[in-house]
Amino acid sequence: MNIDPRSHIPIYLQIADGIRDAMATGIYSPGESLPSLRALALDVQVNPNTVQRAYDALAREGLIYSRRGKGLFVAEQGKADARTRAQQAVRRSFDEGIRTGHATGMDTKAVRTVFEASLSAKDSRASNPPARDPAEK
Amino acid sequence: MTTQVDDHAAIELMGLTKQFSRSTAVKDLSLRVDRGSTFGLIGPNGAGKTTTMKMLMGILRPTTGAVTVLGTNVFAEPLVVKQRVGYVPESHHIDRWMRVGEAVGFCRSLYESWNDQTCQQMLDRFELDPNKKVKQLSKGMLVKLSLVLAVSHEPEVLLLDEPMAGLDPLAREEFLDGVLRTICERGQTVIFSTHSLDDVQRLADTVGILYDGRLLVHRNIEELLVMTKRIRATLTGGHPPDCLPENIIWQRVQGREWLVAVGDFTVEKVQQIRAQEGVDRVEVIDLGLEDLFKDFIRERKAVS
Amino acid sequence: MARSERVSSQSTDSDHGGGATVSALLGRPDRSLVVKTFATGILQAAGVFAGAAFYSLGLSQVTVTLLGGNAFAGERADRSAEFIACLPLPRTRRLSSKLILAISATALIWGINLLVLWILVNLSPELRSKFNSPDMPLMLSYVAITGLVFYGVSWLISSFQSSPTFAVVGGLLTPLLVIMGLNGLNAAAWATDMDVRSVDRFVGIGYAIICPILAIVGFSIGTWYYLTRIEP
Repeated sequence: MNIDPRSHIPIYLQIADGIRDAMATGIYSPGESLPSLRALALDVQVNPNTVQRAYDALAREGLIYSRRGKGLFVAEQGKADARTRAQQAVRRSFDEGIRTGHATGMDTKAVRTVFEASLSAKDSRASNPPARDPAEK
Repeated sequence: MTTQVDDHAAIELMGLTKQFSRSTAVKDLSLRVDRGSTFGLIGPNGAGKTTTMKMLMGILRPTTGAVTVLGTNVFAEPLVVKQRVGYVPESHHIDRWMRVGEAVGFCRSLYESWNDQTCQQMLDRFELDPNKKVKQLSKGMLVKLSLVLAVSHEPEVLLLDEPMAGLDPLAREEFLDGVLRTICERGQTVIFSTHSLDDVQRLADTVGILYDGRLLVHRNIEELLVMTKRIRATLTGGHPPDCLPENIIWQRVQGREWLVAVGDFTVEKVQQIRAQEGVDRVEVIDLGLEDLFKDFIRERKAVS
Repeated sequence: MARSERVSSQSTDSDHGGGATVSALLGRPDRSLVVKTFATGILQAAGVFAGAAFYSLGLSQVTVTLLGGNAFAGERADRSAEFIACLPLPRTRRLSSKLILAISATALIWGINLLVLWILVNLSPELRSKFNSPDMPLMLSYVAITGLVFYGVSWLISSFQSSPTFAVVGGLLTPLLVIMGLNGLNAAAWATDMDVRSVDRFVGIGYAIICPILAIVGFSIGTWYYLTRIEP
């Protein structure tokens, strides 16, 4: 997990995101224990209080739970949350794109046009795989 | 020991001022740091960070104001405070003829709560050879030795003055690791001063920005990041609107572009601006700590 | 007379000069001559060494001044004072360790030099008469007083300065300043009324009174200041 201290996103959120991603990709499976505060803090090189806050946030979302004396564990819905998580990530990217569009003077209609063009380009690339021989263009 | 000052405060500065013959380094500084938290004091060079740290440690007398550490007046009972506080200064002046082992032995003899095991573990981890003379140590090793000496007596408060300045990346990481380990193990209060924003982000729970001797802001770091945002808008009329949002940190008008940094950001504030005449294309920009820091300082610079 | 004649005639005889003379002497059955020659040598040496011991005592006062001057300023000059200031080490402890060092050094210096003087004096009746005059103890006490004022003033300056050199020089200059001051006072107050011997006595007495006072005052203020100061 790499955290970016320069980002505007508070570190505890970055850590929480990182753990959610790990859950989504199966690095942490439901029922498995998460690294201890100390281990994660030393690994990522941040204050353990920050890791605590990340874990608190995840616990509030119901993604992890603690068993007294044994540590923190991934909840069942951890993996199920992957989809929501992915949606949220995509949403954030879209928001960023819209923001850029507005900043450069594009209105919503113009942004939508660009968006649709991107999507259809992606679809056409999927149905027409690139030629193997670079000479054939 | 019962004290009159609130037991929750690790340190408390009240109206602290330090005047030197040619300048005032610290101006009316009031600050309170709770126990168990990590406080990062950031500011550019010359802001007064080292002066503040020295007064906290009781090795520099303030012109006015009071310094209380763990409920004790630092200048009334300096030895009591020094037993409970660990200090890593900005420049290191351990006797250069001493060997590492001798320096350790010397410090051990002075502290009541010295923990040999902690000390040895840290020396091993930092790979500090007890027979090496202090003058033979590289800067990174010297700083690490200072940390060992500061932490081995299990202080309740740890003061670090620009601890990682001038360290190569590897030494920096090792030092940071050492500090984090001690926070994990003992949960003591850590107060550090730096001009590196990366360090602050990693270590601090709360942050204070010091500029020209004054504390510009003192806030929880996450709150600061989330609640401080920049708004960029196009001013069709060429001047800012009449009704400005509260808690403006800094603003600038350049041509038709209006940039305004606000603390306590709410969506309502954006809507309020958007709703006004002469304002078009309002955009909200998230600020990283560096931009935030710069905005606070820019404002202060403009005032002074 | 006979001895010296014989010695000089021997030396002109041979081309080998001194060596031949000594072996000629040693070969002589008259041993008392040899003993007397060596004894004379020893006595002469004793005279020289006694003088040397005396000067050594005088110069050693400078050593003591170096100790006094470096007491506090030395730590500040290499900044190790800053390291120590952050440690829970009471200033009284640091002070006493410096005092012990100064007292031991002084005792050692005076002890050795006085011992050497005493041995040498007892070897030679000539020296004994010279050293038993009332002048000797008087001179020794003036050396002691000068040493005291060197130390006291350099100690004082060291307590608030960070240059040991400055403290040492200040200490060394003080006796000179006292003497100049006394002479100036004399010139101003009594002008040409006093003859040279009286002026000497006036300065001598004044010196003997003022210097110990300066030493004690300097030492006390320096100690007090060091104990109450916050900065390293």
